[in-house]
Amino acid sequence: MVAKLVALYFLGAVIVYILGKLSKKLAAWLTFLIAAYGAYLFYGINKAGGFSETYRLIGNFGFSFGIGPLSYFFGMMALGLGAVFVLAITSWDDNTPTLMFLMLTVLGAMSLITLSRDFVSFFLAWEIMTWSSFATLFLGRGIERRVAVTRYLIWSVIGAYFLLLAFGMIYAKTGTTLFTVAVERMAAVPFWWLFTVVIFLVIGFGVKAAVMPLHTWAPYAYPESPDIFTPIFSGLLSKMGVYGFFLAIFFFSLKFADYGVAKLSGVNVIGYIIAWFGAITAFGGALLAVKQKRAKKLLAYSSVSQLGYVIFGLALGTSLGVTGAIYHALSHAVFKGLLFLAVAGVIMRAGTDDLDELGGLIFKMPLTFIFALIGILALAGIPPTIGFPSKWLLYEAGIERHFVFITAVIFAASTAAFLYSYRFLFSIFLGQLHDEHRDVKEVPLTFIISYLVLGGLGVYWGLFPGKVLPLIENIALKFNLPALKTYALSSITTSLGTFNATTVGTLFGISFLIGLIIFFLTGKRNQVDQLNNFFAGEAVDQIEMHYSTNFYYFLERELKPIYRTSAETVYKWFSDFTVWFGDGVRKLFAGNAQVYLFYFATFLALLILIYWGF
Amino acid sequence: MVSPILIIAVSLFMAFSVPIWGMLFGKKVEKFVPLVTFAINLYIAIVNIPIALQHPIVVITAGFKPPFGINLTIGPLGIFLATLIQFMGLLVAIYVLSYKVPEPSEKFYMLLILAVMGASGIVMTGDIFNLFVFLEITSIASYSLAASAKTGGSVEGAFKYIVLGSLGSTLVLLGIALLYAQLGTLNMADIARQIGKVDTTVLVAASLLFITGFAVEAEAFPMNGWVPDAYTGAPFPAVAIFAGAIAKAGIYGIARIFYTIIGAPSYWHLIMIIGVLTLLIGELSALLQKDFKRLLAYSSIGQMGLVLVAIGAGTLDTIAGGLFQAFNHAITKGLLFLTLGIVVAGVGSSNLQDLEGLGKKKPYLGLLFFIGILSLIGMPPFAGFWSKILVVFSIIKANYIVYAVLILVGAAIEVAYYVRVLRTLYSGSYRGPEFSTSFLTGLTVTVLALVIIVVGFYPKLVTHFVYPAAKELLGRGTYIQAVLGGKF
Repeated sequence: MVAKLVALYFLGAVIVYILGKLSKKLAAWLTFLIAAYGAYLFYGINKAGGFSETYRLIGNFGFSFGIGPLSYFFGMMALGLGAVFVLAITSWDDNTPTLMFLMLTVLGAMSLITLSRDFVSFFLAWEIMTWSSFATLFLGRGIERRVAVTRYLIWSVIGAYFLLLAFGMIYAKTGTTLFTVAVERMAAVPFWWLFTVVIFLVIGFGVKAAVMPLHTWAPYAYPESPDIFTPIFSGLLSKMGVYGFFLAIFFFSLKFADYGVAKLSGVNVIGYIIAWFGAITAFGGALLAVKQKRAKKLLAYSSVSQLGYVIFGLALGTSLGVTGAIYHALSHAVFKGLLFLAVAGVIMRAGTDDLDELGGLIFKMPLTFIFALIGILALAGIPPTIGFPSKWLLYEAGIERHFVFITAVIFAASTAAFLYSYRFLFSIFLGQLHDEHRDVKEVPLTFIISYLVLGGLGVYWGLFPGKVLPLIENIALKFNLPALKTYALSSITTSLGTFNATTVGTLFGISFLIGLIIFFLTGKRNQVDQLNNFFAGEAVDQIEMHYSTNFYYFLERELKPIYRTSAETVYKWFSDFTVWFGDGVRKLFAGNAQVYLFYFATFLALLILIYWGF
Repeated sequence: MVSPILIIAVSLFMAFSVPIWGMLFGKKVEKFVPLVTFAINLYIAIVNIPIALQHPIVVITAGFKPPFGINLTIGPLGIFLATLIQFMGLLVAIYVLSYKVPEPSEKFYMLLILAVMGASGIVMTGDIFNLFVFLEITSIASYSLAASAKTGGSVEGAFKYIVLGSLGSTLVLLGIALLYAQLGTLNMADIARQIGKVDTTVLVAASLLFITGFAVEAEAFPMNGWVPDAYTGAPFPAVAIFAGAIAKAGIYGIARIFYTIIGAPSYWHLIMIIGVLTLLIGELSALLQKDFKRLLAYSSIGQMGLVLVAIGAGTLDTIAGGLFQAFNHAITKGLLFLTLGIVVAGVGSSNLQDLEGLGKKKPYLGLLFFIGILSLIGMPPFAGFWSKILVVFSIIKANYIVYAVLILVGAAIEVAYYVRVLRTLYSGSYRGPEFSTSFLTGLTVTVLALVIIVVGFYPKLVTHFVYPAAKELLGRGTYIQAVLGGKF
């Protein structure tokens, strides 16, 4: 099974690359077909009741693969939504064979990550995912390439090395690289050891999930990646970080209970602290998103923020928290993919994602607007979209354990999300159309199909949480979490009460309709020119009136002290120090043979002293 | 069976007959001599692989049985390294067919053969004085190779190499003399058998002399001052031989002496400390380099440091991982140096500034750099991944977690400067002159890249050798018994 997937994605990638040299269009369709077939295969694996495969490798290492509810959920999300994103590439202008190659490689790597059942194959797939997504950064528009490539690769390998250390420690202790066997054999390890492993894993996966303060690569790498790849990058790759996070928490952190680690309302202190990191990420990411001037960068910070919610939920480790987190991970993949895809469409047609240079595209790209609106509604957690139940569950998870402050921070993050959501929507689609965008056309058909699927799923899963919850419940049961109280197709009952997503969504829809009807039925409307509106009838020449520069100036002014505290200062200091130190060390190579002879003599003398002295 | 001693005989004959071939068949023939030599040698090495993996091959010369007379002892480790060295030699020989080597070219070819012959001799010999002789052959040939470009930089680099190299060889000789004075034998297995009889103080002195002496060739700190200058000054084919063959012989010397001959774990830790210092200092020094060739030289120091750490850790897995890393270093650095050689021949500079945008202009060369760099920083599905994961896992398992952390710190620094290289290659636009790649140089680097990928997919191709080799190093008794016979 795994061999089939590997062959499909990686050989497919090579074939697509070669075909792409001849005909890009054809290769793009083939890319889509491969991605879709891969998702279908993955679906088939689970339907067939799972599998387990082992391959012998060098030394003590072997590869082992299998599937469970968690792998299925994340794998299906990555491959299924991945195929939807890939569809848009068929009519994307800046497509290159290399990009298609890398996209399939990334998808293949994600399928392996989710199926992997041992550290070596997991790490292998993880690193393939890293370098293939890294390579796409060279195919972007090159606005901040320098920073993006450097930060992304360095952060990724630092994360990967923490993982490697943790895996190595587990391997050294248990003598196996298989997940399940390792966990079984870790019955009586010292506390500090387990603690180190968990922290290493949390840092390692935290980098991919861009948890503050490990996030500084994301706001550069996401915008810099090719527009068509960004939905996969931000929507799906980051979810692999979440997947790993889940494993780290549920394989290991829960064992903290056996060591008498203090608990706060049933959540161990370490989890509680990580939850705080998640909450701060949610809030800080949103605040930073507010002041961004480029759409992709705004969404990148928003991704950081949304992943913060997910980490918050996972770190709590309660049924509600985990359910909400996984739901929100799916939710983020859907709406952030949709939004990035919409931005890709805007950039393809209008040539820029600079919010100051866009505006008034609503009549030129109405469908893009409508689907971007759905994405924004989901992002803000407004029914009837998928963001509503997922965020609701997360809030409840905080409230249920009486974590007042942390929940307040999460709420505040949502408020900030409204601010940047509005800026995004307004600056691109509303207001005055710029002259150079008079001839902008709507995006091509395949984009619209992708929009439709994503928007449709976003609303469907928002109205009927009962379609998603069984999958999450399977995961919870597998990891020995108590199931949620009850849920039906449209409603969820938790310890805090019941809410009915369908009813809420329908009510929202109905009130929207009523408003629309009132708008159309009542009052006499006089269509006037936009400028006429702006100047109250004064006769003024055509001038640019679109207002988006310094959109939230008042906010930026008030929050200046907060914006000034940044983890980047520390990293800057650290990297400057390393460079300074490295340069100092380099001076050891003085370039003078006498100096080298001096080292030689000193070293030998030193050794003789040490060995004869004792 | 073809006797492996032919590797040395053929090399010597061919090396000194280069001018004669030239006189007999014309100047043009000379450049095929290294190719023919290494092809024959590689064949000999390969046919001996299955035999050496079964049981160490002991070649007796002049009819004297060990411990008397000079003999070759080739176990899994020796045949693995000999094959690797000859393979690198063969690729460089193909490369020089269409690479403009410095004049007088016949001497360059001669030195090339001698350097490779010396390195293979080091890994095959069973006699410690012979080891010194081969060390001198390979060193002196390398000094001349380093100076052969005849620019100011190359002569300067070669001078530093001579100063340090000759001191190193002298120390090795002194160490050998100390042991000989005590035991009256030069056979490595015989010394190993009687090592307990050596006076402790003398043994310590000899060990320290060996470690500092061989550290010069193994590029270990602080005896590696020659590396940046000599690498930068030497012609690219020679540099590929330095990294691919001679550094490996240095590593072999250290491993053989401290595992088989002396066999005292107290020095293994010293090797690790030297290794980790070498690693960190090499990587840190590379951080700000603006010249690609010099950067690769520093990176080479760092990689050799990693090999030393792994070999010093002293378990089967770590030694195997270290040897795997040594193999990867030879192949990958060979790829990077030789590809850079093609580029420099066209661009006329190895300064990173002048290579801006080259990856976009020359996608294939860019891809080769990309593969090489990804393999160096340990990314799958390339060969470097396996050695990295093997070394890190096994070092943690050997309870050296601090060393594992330091290795990874070094690796992270490595990534920091290689990402700078990639960034330069793929951003901006290329402004240098037009140039084309000749078929044969292109073929050489393609083969190296393919080796990296194939080993990445089938790591067993290498672990099949490095595990027996590591076992050989840890099993002193087997080695001694194989040479001297009887019970140990």
